Amino acid sequence: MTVSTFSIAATAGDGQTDQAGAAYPPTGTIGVTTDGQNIAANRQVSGGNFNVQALFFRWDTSSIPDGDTVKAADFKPHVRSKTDSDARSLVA
Amino acid sequence: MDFKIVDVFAHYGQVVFAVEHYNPDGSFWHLEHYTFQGREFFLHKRVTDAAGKFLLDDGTVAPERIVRPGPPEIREQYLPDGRAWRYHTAPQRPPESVLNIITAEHQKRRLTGWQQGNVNTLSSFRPARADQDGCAGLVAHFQGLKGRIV
Repeated sequence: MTVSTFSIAATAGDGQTDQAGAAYPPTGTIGVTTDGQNIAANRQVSGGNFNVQALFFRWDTSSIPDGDTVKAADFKPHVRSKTDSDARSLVA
Repeated sequence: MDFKIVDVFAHYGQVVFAVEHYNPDGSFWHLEHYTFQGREFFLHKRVTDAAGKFLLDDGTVAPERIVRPGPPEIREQYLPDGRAWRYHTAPQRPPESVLNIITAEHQKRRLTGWQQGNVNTLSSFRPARADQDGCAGLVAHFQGLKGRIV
């Protein structure tokens, strides 16, 4: 067995999506940002609008040989900062 | 001790850490290989000031803009035209990160058990060009971990 670590590709395949609306969950147009210097996961209501931001990441795992079996995978992000208005015990 | 890094070497564009894991009584448990892509040699963190703000290539703090009005207001630093970020010269993954990964795997296997025995195998990876180009430098970056006991 082998334990392999892959950093995110850090290309246009990484980024965030935004969706906003007057009701929750929002059903408005989904915006996609892939060129931001920072990305943020976010869930908030502001000015009567609910807004949800989700993050997406991509890894280049093409070096794994054909025929190998992936038995488990962990995701370990490094979070630079957090804002928490509702005491959700978020940790950065 | 929990484990010992017995070797650090390049293998098909990957940096490989050969690690001996040990039982609580000190007896040998099994050997495992931990790999990292050679391309990590080219990944460098941006430099920040004491407050955690990113710096530009001239050493000044990058300007900020509001990306979402509050509350809570969300701001981000941005790169002005013609400027670049200032980066650290060393690869962004510190040696401690490697030790943390091995430690976490050791503890997980200690809790869940390890039925595979000592399966000493290492696949022939399919490296990308960036992995091949960065592998030697990344091996040198991590060479100080060879022989490390945790």
